[in-house]
Amino acid sequence: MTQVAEQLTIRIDRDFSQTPGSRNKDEGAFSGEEFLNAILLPKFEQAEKEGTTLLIDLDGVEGYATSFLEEAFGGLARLHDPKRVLKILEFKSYDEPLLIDEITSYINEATA
Amino acid sequence: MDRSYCQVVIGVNIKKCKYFRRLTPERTLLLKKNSKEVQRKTEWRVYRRRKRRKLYETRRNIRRNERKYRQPRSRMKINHFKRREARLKLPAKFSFIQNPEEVLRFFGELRKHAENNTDVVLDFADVQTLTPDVIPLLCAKVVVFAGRINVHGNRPRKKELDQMLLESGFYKLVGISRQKPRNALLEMHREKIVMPLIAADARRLTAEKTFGDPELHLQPLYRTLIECMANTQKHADSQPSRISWWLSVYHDPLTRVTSFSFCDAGVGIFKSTKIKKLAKFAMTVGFWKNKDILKRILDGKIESSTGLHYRGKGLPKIYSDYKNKSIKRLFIVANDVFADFDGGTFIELKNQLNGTFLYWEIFP
Repeated sequence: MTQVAEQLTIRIDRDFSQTPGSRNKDEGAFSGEEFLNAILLPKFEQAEKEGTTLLIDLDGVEGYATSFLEEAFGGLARLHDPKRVLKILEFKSYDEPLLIDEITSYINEATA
Repeated sequence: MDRSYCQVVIGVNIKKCKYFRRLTPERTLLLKKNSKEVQRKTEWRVYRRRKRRKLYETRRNIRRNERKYRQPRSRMKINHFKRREARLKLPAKFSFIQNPEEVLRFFGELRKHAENNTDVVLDFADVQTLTPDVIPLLCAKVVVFAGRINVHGNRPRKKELDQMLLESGFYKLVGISRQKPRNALLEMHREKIVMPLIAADARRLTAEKTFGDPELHLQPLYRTLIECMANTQKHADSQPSRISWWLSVYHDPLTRVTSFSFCDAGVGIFKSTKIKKLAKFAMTVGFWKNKDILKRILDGKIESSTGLHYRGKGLPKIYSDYKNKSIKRLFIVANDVFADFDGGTFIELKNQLNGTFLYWEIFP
């Protein structure tokens, strides 16, 4: 009997901040770059290693700037294969469902 | 001849006198008045007196001259340090979204005075209309010029306008220390970096005062604020964290509308390097003007000043939030373009704005 690895989860409001900021660290606090390096990338690599998916819970925050989302998820797609990123990542956004399409487009356009 | 007599008469040491041997009483008497020694002595005294007098006069003249020349010199000094002062009347309709040309002309005059090192007295007395959108611009300009010149002035006659300036912190900025009221309708913020907490506070204030629910999610508003702050880093200057941005949040208790004004004193959108080159090309061909470029930026058809294809999505997102009616009454002013999206007008301004200005409202 094969054991299925448990799905990994990132709740941005709990694990990172309720007030995400802009793109780079030098622009201000809670940037996309900070989120990518501190949380998203290690968890993604862990999920990839364990052969499981990574659920990103986008709810519970004040909002997301385009630069934050692009740097975090587009940045991840620039480090890893965009198709692989889309395969591993799963999104949950009840507050603003359109965010999922937006993030998907950033991942697809990251290396275009 | 009695030596002692002679000594008394002449009044000098007789032994040292070379005419001593030839002295007779007659001669002695003569010597008393006309002898060379006496004459020489008298001359010497006169000479010394004259010399003293001359010295005294010289010193006196020096003193007089010093007094004479010190005064004009000190006057020159006063003239040097005494600053020129000009009185600058504010437009009666001091509103950037309603009267942009007049307001920009006023800021142009303020700049001219700053360049000429002339202190400015701002005359608010005749201001009839003052809208919250113009206050961050005014503060930004005053702070930019405050390093060069002193800016002070009077207060508006209308009490509500005076109250608005007080709440904005403008008076504190120009050195008038007055206590800011606790329940202020106008909040002013000035920073150099992206401040998510300020955006979150503004969202909370809007949710509470406009919609009556402080926990209401207003993601487009928060996003717009963060995009504006981030754009300051991109459009204001090539080096980050050098240019301040100003944000005013004003809540009208009658209409329950919350209005946001955001400005920076950077180079503006069109002077960003990448766009500048493209604009130059389009302008030489004669196709585009700045207003056409702004339209293309908002539609996402012009890439970012960084040259990276995945950047430059901030302004298009603000525009799309406006089109989705998440934010209303959007105005964008950049350099010589005044865009009123509700009116659908893109006006070319005669007087330029150095920087970028955004205004929008949130309705209940």
